[in-house]
Amino acid sequence: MGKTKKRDIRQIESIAKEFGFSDSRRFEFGDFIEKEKSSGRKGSLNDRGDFTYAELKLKAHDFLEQIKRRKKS
Amino acid sequence: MTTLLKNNKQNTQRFKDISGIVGIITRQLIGEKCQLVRFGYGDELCLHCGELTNYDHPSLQNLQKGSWCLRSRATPWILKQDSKILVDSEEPETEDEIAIAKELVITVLTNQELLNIAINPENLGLQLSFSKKLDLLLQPDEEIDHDLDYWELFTPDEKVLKIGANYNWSYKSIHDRN
Repeated sequence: MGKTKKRDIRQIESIAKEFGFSDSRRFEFGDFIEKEKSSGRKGSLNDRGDFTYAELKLKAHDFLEQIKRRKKS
Repeated sequence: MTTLLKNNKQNTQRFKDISGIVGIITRQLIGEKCQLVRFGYGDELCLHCGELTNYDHPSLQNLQKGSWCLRSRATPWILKQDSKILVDSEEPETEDEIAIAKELVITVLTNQELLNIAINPENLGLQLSFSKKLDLLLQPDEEIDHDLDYWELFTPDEKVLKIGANYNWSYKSIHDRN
């Protein structure tokens, strides 16, 4: 809703392409980002807590790191 | 003029293809309940139907997803009941208005049975008809929506159907890398 959603969704698409995510991973990553935001780990882009592209890249690293850690354990 | 007629003919054929494919893929979805309604990042509307399972990711283990999941991408949508508009996704502007609209959609659509799915030949939008005379209409804006798919449907057999501009579509494994 609102006028900014296209930018947000496009950015998730761009990150997914950059990191070579499958659609399954992209699906999870979008929900991961929304959960980060709703859990208070917000971005600095605006008052809503949306993320800059650089912040999303860091989140993508974190997202993948957690998967790797779980596989190792 | 000849080119225009040829393009129209091609588009008509492409629509027939898409319509047939959507009909086949969604046959099993009709009759399912909308188990979860959630808004993703960018306020993307996500409808989860069918069997609910937990996410794989460690940070999302308290979240569930449906075996079917329709995602609206950035496509504008309208929720109607008995032809009366309940929510138009383009209307809410303030944070409060957006929160109220989301809550209404979640309350109204959760647990409703999907009765029919129709695809619009003009713009490839979707009309999903639910119990209680509810209709959800996804209405792609053909002028500006060329870089994102109009909508996508994740299916129980781990595939995803994507419909986009210029009658482009794909149906492939959710595990394929993009």
